[in-house]
Amino acid sequence: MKNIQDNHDPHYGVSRNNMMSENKKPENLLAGVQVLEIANEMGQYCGKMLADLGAEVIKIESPGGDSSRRIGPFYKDTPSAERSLRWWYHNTNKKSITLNLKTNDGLDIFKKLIKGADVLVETPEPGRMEGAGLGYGVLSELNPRLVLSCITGFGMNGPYCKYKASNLVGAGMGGMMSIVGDQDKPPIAPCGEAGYLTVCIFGAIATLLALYRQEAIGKGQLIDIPMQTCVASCLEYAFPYYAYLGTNLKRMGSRLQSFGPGKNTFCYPTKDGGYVYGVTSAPPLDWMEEEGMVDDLKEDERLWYDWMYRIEKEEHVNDVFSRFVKTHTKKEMYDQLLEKRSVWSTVRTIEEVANDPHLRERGFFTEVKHPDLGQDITYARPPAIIDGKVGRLRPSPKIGEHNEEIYSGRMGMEKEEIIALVSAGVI
Amino acid sequence: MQKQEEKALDGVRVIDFTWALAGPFATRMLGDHGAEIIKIERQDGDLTRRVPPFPERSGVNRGGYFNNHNRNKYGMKLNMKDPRGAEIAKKLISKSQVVVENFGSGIFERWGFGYEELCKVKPDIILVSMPGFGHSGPYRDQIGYGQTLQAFSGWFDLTGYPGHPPSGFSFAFSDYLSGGFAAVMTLAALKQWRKTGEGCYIEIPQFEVLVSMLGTNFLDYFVNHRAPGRSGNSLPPHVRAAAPHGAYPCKGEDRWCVITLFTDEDWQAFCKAIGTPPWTRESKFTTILGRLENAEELNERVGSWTLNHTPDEVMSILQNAGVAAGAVREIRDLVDMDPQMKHFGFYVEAEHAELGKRLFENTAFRLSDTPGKINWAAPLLGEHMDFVCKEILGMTEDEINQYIIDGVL
Repeated sequence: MKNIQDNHDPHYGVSRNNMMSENKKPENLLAGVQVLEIANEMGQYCGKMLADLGAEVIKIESPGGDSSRRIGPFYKDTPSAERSLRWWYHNTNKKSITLNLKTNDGLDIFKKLIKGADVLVETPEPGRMEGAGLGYGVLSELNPRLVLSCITGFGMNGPYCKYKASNLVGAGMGGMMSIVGDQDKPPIAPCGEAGYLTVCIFGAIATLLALYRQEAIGKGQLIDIPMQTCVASCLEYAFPYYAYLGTNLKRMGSRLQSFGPGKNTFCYPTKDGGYVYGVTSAPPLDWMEEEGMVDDLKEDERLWYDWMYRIEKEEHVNDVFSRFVKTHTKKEMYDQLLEKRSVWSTVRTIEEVANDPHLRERGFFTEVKHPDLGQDITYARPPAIIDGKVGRLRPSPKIGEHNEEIYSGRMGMEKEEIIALVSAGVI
Repeated sequence: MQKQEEKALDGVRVIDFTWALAGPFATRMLGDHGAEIIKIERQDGDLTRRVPPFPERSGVNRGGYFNNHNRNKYGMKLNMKDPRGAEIAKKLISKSQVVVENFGSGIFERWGFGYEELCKVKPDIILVSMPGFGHSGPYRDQIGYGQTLQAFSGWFDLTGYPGHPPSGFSFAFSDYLSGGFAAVMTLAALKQWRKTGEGCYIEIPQFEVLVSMLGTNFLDYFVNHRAPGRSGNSLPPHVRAAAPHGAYPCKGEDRWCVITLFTDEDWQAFCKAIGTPPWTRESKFTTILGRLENAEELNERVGSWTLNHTPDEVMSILQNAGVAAGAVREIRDLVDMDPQMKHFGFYVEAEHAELGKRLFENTAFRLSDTPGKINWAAPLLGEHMDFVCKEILGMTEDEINQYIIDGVL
């Protein structure tokens, strides 16, 4: 596996003034941006995107560590706060300090940290930050430049603002589950953490919009980022079909809404238990013809050249296509579909994608050193190449790994102070 | 007080060559927040102008799909195969900050629009390129459709019910993921440009975006050699204990409510909320391990309770007890009924030149000082030719007419 090109500034934490005065391109797009993050599993991907772009993202964890460190999968399936693979992936390039915000000392320290920050990304329980005297009003008085990004299930006010959210609740309440799954079975969510991912992508967009504005006028703002509205923005056909025709589109298995509900795309089984994703409008007809599998289509010439007509005659066409796919193994389909540059594709497993030759050649899966394990771990790198370079991946921080750097190095606390605060359960 | 009209991206001009969904969704986010998006279309228009739904009759200016994704943009037609068309595009680029394209790899360069070429007309340009698979590697020339990319990248195989073929999903979620990610990257580049005056070239292969967003699965594969399977709405046992966790049938036709319990505290609250029926005190359900082991029976028990209530009743009973539950909203619920969506003002009207007043999705988040806004509907094909040619490029009426006669505009 290729190693990614290391373009990271070796003087991590270089001061903002240095960055400003240099009139040359910084190595990372967000170099010099300081972000504080108080986020549970719902909001961590937002901070990851900012950290992967070179922002200094400092996670504030409660002493003992964030509860999301308890979510698996775990390294070698051995649970421990430092071995959650989910935590690893969602917190690359971040720093971690511990701080108990339920203590007065903790609040004092937090306010000092806020003064130097550009952004606070949080996933607050409704009213909790205000209750602790940490609402936007207080924080923006301490630091008018501060951008406060609030990632929640349902928004900062309104009838459901106090409702609890999980990934599945977000996918359900945002309408996504109603269009995923088979008609004769319960609605389901797309795999993984579709709800969380969606709100985090929108959260990063919103945060960067406010940062751009901050750069222009020197002032931050408060951003309300509800998972429900973010998820509801990604329903493709469902919204316009309802708004324009009053049609309430619902789940239809793997039949995509495309050129009309449930048209055009289908999942065909291969000879050996695999699947191929096919598009009725753009099938590999020449290949099928070579193998004499499309004689049925030739009876009606229009089926041959008119893709809109093929969509109309989907039942007949599908029959022909699925018979064709059934004569091949998944491997044959994979090879030939690529060879013929077809838009059809095989439905690939994680294992197949992990061993993908294209990703290998592009160095997409990359080795990251985990010194404490004495080994390199293979990660998916951030999927953007900027001026020909990819950003460096540093492993996620251990609990309070950067306490000394931040509390002593940056804030100038004495050793005795730190000991006192640790022993009192503040940090 | 901020003036109502100020927007986060005031003064930013984007030359938008994108088509279909992923690219237009990225530029929609920028346009909603004040960037001036000049959408360059082929003379027969963006492919999605031919995509339904169409109210009453079809037509390139009548599609709801195109309208929803291309609001707040300026419409410009341009024949890029004519050298004069390419020249006009370069002039536009010389007066802009950002260029975005999502063509197949190589097309933009063939036009003479590679990054280095663009830097010659605008040294600080930001070029965002969103090829399906990237500008190198064995799949470089493959066609990257969002719909099939999600099958090819692993999303599809994991979505579905255990023991059944993959269900996949009936929409191009992938286009929103890669379009959203492209908006993130564009904004980060703009932030750097604002600070340093420097542009950059960003390559965002949509395939890699999709794979990266399953990142934990790949870590699990490389570290633990795990090949995961489909698990419906359940969380796999190696990830997290959660039971009940799923969609439960409710009163009404095909109505469902999601219920997600993680801790023992959640379970206590849940039992109390549903009136502590005797089965909840059976020993197989009183511990987390018991609930996981007997998940199937548990789901039936929970389902027999939810069936007596509407999804909204289930949600409200459980949420009032502090349990994470949510109705499975259908699109008509979101548009017509959901009080939180109404409170947020998520669906708003705007006037379309041919279709009249139409409903739009608002921006999904709200910036307190510079909220985004739907200012106008999607452009008719070539609607803003005059604005672009005269006000930005300073062409005369005669020049414009000649270009039109020659098939350049």
